[in-house]
Amino acid sequence: MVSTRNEKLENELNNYKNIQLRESIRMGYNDFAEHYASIGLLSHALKFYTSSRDYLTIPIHILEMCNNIIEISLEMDNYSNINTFILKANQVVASPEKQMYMNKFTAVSGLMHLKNSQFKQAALKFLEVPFDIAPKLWSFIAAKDIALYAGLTALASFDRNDLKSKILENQNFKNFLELEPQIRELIKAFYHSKFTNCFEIMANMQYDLTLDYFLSKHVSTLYTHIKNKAVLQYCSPFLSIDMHQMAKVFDTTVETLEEQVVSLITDNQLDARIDSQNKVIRANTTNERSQVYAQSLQLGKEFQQKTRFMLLRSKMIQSGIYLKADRK
Amino acid sequence: MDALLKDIASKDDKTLLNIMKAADSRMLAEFTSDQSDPLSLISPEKGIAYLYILLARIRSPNNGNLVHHLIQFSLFCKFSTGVLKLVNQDLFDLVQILQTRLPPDVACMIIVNIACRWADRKEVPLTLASDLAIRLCLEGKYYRLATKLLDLPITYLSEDYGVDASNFLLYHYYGGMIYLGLKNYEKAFEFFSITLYVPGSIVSQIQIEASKKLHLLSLITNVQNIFPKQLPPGSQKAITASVSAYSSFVDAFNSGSFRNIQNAFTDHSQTFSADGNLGIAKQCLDAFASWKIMQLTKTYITLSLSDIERQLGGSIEFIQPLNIQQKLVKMIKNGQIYARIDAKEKIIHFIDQNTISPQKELDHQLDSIMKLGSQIIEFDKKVGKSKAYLTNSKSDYQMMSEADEMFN
Repeated sequence: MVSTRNEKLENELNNYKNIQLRESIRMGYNDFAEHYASIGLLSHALKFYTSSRDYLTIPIHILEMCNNIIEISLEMDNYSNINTFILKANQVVASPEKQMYMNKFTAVSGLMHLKNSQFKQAALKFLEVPFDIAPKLWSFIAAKDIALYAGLTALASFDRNDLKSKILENQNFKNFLELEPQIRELIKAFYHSKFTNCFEIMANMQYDLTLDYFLSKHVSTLYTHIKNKAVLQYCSPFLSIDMHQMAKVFDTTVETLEEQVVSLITDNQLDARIDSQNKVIRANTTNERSQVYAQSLQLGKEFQQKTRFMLLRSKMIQSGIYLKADRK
Repeated sequence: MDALLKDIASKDDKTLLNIMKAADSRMLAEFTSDQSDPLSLISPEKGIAYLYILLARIRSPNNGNLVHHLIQFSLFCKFSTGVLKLVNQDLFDLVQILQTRLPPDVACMIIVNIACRWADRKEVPLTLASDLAIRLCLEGKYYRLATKLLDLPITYLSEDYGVDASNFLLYHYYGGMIYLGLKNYEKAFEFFSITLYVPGSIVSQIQIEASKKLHLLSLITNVQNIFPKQLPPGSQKAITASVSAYSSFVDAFNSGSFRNIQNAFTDHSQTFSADGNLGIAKQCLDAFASWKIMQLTKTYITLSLSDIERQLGGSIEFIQPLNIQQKLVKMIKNGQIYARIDAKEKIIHFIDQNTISPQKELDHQLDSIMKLGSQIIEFDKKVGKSKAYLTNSKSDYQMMSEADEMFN
């Protein structure tokens, strides 16, 4: 049946080529590509969509072609191709259709950043997607997915102020959040520092998220980022914190919490030290003056040493003292 | 001899030098007519006379006991700037004779003192006696004595003193070894580093050996880049190719994994041993454990000793034969960490570093930077007046004027 369909499409394409009708040839290539895409031969589909490039007549055709190639490339996990065609679409003369396609491609850019674990950029891109484009998005990225991806990447990368201004007060994004109430509750719980509730929702969602095509590889990293941010947010107003109490809030053991806090201190994210004996975290009261003194002294020392060596080297050159090959 | 003693009192330095050089060595080795020792009659500050009489006496078969006079000479002799260059070779001859005639400890002390006399002026020159003195101290393990000379950084280099690049390299290489013996790793690093500043398009074996030690010392002193910008890329490539075992040990260290470090140490220990660097490599392992403990001070205020052992993991082996408490006590004594140990409860309390502003230290540093600045200005002036610079700039100037004329 597949071969019959192949033959039919091939005959049609040859006919169009013989009569030299550009639009028909383009349609012929697109039909061929759609056929291959439907039977899973994505590389063939991509080849035929790419071939249709030579028969494009009006700007909308360019946008359609870019859209088709981006869709196939996403399925093939070929992100370098996607970037090229987003740029190509951007060069088309401005029109309402172009705006619609570019909005669709913004979501794709978000996916590209997500793929590269650039969570903040991904979140910003997803937030740019207007809600009215939602019905026109592709089958593999629905409007509720935008809410999910934007919500999680924003939680992992935005500070508290950004969460408020860019997520909770964002009228456009509120519409997306209505489609995914769990994410809305998660963000609110995080923003209001209700971490027990926040981690409970995260635990409930985790299994589903691991089945998501675009998100599955990043779930554990995103969760670690969110949990670390929660610790930082929890610690920020305190001079000292009882770790037993904090472990209860975070629904974890004191030992696990200590490990997490140690890694945050080691990465210079948290400016505090742990009183391991009494299980208390104490914020550091940094003496900036002494730090500046120490840095100045170190810099001065290095400068002096290097200058002295350079002066010595210049004197050696001046006196003709340098390494010569032994003629023996 | 009586007449000569009268001349010593009355003649100026240059005339006296000519007289002493022309004098018969047998006559210089004689006593006065009333059988007094001329060295007891003249002051060692009369450097020229004292030197030539000492040389003549030491070369003669019946020279008696000269140690007292040699010590006097080494401590108090004085030469004017111009004269020092003229007596340089004879002074070095004296040093070489002392090296073979006296017991090593006495010879070292006298030679170091004489080498310091060269340095006892506005400039500190590198002389043939400098690297000899440091080598003798290194062989005899008189490390503290050597620092008397090493603490005076070289500021003057001239072929007038008969030195070449190898003397410079040896002096600083031996100096680095002395500081290694004293466990002053920063100074050792500084001395080995200087060897890489010697100009030239070829690489000396001394530089390669110094680079091996620099690789290991960089782990103890926590310095990232050991190669100066001025080192030609070709030389750097040649040195890097010769120190591959050391580079891979450094890489293992930077990975922060105890197992990688241990494996690299086992793999390359034969190379380290053959190069005489096994001791420093072992110090690096100890430094890794110290570094891990120092990191803990940034993270914890109190920690039990058993927790520290747990945090150190496998690297606890590196502090042997000490136990964790002994290691911590040693680090506190060396000022590596600020802490108090509660020996009864087996808990360590990390305390904040003393935050008194180091005003004196800053003033001292500013002072030395200003001195360095004036040295650079002085050197710049000298270069500006030098024949080579003037010839080159003159030819450039001529070319520019010719070009101007062509356009006009």
